[in-house]
Amino acid sequence: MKKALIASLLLLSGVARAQPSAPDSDSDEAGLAMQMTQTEGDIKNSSALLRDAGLNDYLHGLVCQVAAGACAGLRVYIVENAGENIIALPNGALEVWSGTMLRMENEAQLAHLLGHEIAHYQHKDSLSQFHRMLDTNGLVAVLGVAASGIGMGFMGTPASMAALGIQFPHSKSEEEEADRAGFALATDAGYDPAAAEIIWRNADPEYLRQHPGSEARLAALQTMAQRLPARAAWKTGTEIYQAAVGSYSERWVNDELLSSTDSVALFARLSASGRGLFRYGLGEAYRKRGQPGDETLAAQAFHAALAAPDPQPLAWRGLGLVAMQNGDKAAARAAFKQYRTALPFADDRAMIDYYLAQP
Amino acid sequence: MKAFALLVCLLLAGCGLEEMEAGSETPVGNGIFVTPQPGFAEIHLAAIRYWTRNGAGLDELGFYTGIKSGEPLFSVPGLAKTDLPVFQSRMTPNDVAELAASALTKKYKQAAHAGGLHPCPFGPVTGFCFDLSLTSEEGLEMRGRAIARLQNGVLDLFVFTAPAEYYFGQVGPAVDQIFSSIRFQ
Repeated sequence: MKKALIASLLLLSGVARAQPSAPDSDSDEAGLAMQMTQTEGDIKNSSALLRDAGLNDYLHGLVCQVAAGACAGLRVYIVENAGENIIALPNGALEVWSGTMLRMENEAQLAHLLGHEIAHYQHKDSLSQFHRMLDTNGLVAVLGVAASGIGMGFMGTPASMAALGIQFPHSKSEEEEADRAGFALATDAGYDPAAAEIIWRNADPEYLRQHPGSEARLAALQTMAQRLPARAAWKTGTEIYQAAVGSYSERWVNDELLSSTDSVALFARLSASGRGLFRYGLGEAYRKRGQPGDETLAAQAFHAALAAPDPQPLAWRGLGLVAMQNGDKAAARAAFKQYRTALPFADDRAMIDYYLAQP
Repeated sequence: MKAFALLVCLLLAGCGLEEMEAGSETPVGNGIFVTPQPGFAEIHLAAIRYWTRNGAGLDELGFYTGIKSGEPLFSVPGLAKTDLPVFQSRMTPNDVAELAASALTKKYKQAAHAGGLHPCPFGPVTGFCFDLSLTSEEGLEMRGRAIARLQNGVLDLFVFTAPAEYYFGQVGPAVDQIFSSIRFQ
């Protein structure tokens, strides 16, 4: 049964070399193969799919740079989800969550992360995952997970892809091999070797749960980077990446603030770039967390956001709200007036005017 | 249409359905009363309780009253309380609107957005109103309308959500009338 299952998945895969016999259409294996096709179809139709042609072209181009000759078998989908994840299906579909795009500081980091997932795909690690799932739960349960997601109840949605990965993370040896091969793919494409370690050092705990590793992983990636000859021409692609992502950054900052209860660490890291948008995100993250001292830190972040090369007028509102919470009416009024001047047609102007009218 | 709501309710173990008496003032918690409009029924399933005209998932009007610092706005099936965003007593109306959007994001697993925040009457006092919107994972455009008040660090919040197509427009005016009927004990 397992051989037939693998055959059916290889048949779906763009890298299949031999032509295995098609699984019996009534078999469980055919059902699983259909599920993969169905899942990809559902991603294509999902309202969460980001359809911006420019951004999709950019990402597909990056995948092709990293995957080199294997590019033809890969299809990339950007899904609006504030979490951090890239999921490689065994049929060559790569689902990149927008939260991952937010977390990347430059093109080199994204190239290394894509390289890692492409390596999983090329080594057919997803098939091994399915093997383990079958050994543990049986095919019916596997299909059940794929069909439902974890507690999400949406048939064949992108959530189901994540559910498969969350329940059945790659093995440590698969991770090590994907690190090695992904590193080679990204550096062969000219991307800064140091970026590989940085993405894993910065990764969200949930993403690391699906990609088991440790300090040993970071050390191994560091060693790999040190072994490469120093080259001034290693690509980092910070500006290229920011230009490609463009105005989506603002949307993803808001999505992150909506979805997470504590984004302070993330925005503190991203703020190191000096971008006002991330400093504004940091201010809002402090306000949202609301621990002792956070209001002061929020005010500092908002001031920094206003002083940045890309000043954020929303930071005036943040300053006004912090001052209002602290009972500093004069400071609140001054900040709200600045906000109204900077954004005269702001969506919440009636509420701000009400605050301003209070004695 | 109530038959559909009843059918949905019957399919869910532990679900209760009670038809509301139109025109009869009804307590919704924290000393607040509202007057139901014709055709509403109350569905209660464990800790979840809301009014609906057409059934679960079609239009839902939730009354979340007496929310204290550290408490979530409402329960979401499958999520622990610790996974939900919580109200903090120092929150401003802007924060409450974002909090409601954040809670809906958890409920629908898709980013919800709050907008149009403005002051509005909450019974005899000034509260605040805002709009909500999201696209469900199935591609359904959802709209929402909320009214709230903050008093002594405690939040009272009513949230109405429905698919933008047909149901929001069909039930919205009745919900506005319910919001206008707010009275304190």
